[in-house]
Amino acid sequence: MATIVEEILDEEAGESVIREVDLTYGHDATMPLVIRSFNKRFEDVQNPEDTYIFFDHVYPSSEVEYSDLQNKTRDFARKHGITLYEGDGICHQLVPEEGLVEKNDIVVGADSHTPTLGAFSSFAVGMGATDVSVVLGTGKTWLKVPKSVRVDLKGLPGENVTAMDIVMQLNQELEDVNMNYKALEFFGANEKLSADEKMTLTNFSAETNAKTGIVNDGSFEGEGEYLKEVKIRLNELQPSISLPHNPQNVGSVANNNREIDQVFIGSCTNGRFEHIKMAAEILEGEKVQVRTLICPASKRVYRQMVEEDIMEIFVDAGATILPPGCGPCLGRHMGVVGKEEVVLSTNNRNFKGRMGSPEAEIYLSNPITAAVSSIHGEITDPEEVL
Amino acid sequence: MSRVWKFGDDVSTDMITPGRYNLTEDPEELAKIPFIEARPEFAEKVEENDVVVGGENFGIGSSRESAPLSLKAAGVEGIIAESFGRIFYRNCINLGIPVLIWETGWLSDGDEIEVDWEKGIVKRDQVQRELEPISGFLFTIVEEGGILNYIDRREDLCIE
Repeated sequence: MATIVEEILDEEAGESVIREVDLTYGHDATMPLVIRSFNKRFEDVQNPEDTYIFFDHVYPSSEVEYSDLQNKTRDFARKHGITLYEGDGICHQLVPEEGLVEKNDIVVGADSHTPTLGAFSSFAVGMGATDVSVVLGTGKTWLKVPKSVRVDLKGLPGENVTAMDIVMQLNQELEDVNMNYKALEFFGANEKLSADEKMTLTNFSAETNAKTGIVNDGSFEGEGEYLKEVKIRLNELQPSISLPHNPQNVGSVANNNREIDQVFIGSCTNGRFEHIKMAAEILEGEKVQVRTLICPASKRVYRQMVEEDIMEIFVDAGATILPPGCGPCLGRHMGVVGKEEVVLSTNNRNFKGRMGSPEAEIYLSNPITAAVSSIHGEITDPEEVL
Repeated sequence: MSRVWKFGDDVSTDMITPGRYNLTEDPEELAKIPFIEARPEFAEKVEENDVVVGGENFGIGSSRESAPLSLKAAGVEGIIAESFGRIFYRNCINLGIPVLIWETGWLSDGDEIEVDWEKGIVKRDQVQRELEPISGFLFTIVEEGGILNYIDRREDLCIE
């Protein structure tokens, strides 16, 4: 009688435990502080063969200072025998593409969207620089075993509804539960969602404030003591959006027909091939009315776009194709937004200042809504026009 | 006495240290960044021992440790909020920054307060409130100046 979390961590919710970490990773934006902390206390990386660094946030670098930081990280990787991926794509995307995560693994990532890997039935948590340096130096971390909310997915989603909308609905269902320090366990997701979409589910579930989200691969019983049990009927869902300035501020697309200045389709939330294809199917033969940025989550996705003749659809539609990586999601480069600009984005965060000016407004949606809106120049409900 | 810098709900790490200002790992440089766009006077005017007070979800979002580190480097003594982003909270403990969780509607910008971080007591004028202090070994980590010192003393990661 245990939740998935209790089964993986082999301890009851509420207890604090120390566990060996199976997989650790960081990226160009967080590693500099990890290295600074590591060098204060430690000399050797305990498990370099299970440690990875990815240059994804700003690649290639946009400032001299940042290039210098990346060089320090390159030196660190070389010194400790850590595999470094440069410009191959977003860390959370490359870990599964490279087959680095397995069921029941305990994963610590120096990034808050590490729970993405819960799609593969691992216990994956994001941590800060000092915590990650401790994992590098000791091979271990401490964890308070979280209580879980069980989410059962029922029915099948309509054609304009994606995993993005499932999490938005979930945020509404969880209004009375503070998900801080709790986990989400998804039942039925394995059967109803593709691998790409399962990752969207666990990735965006970080924005419920949950510590992690885990998809049951069918082998967990999930008969433990749950804080709450939620059923989401996928066939009843409509495309939703998150309004400024919190992903939990969920509204209907139909009631928010704002004019927009920029559309971004990509990120660790919605930059996989299936998501890019959703956008391509809508943009085929159309012209975008606003700045539209398409950013594949990895080189593998990029290559598939080339192989399946999707590149030319975007080029002909007037969209801008960005190199694989995080793109403009973190307001760092390649689409930093100005004052009072309005953005419709498929990434996971719309906090003030996330993508540039704190006076910009960011709306979040699934890739279908984003693509439809790019050809109308305003937030547009795909249910009305498709 | 500590001066209060009051903020509202949902102060994300994007607001504390926006993405494009994360160009250094040097605390002295990071000290110039906190709230650089949302409250530009903060970094210049904040003084040693000042306290940052937030509403719900203080420090939500990105795991970037530049956010709590920049506040510490700028002189902030500790943070009180109604709730914290989970990773930010853990980062504060790891860096030896004391934090308290409680209702903060009664505190205003510029208030002069005295805080006992260990007992969770906040005093303003004649008003005294007991808040929820950090529990167990987490407070020991804060008291010892962060998790690196904590590990140093015990020569390993352990829960006491």
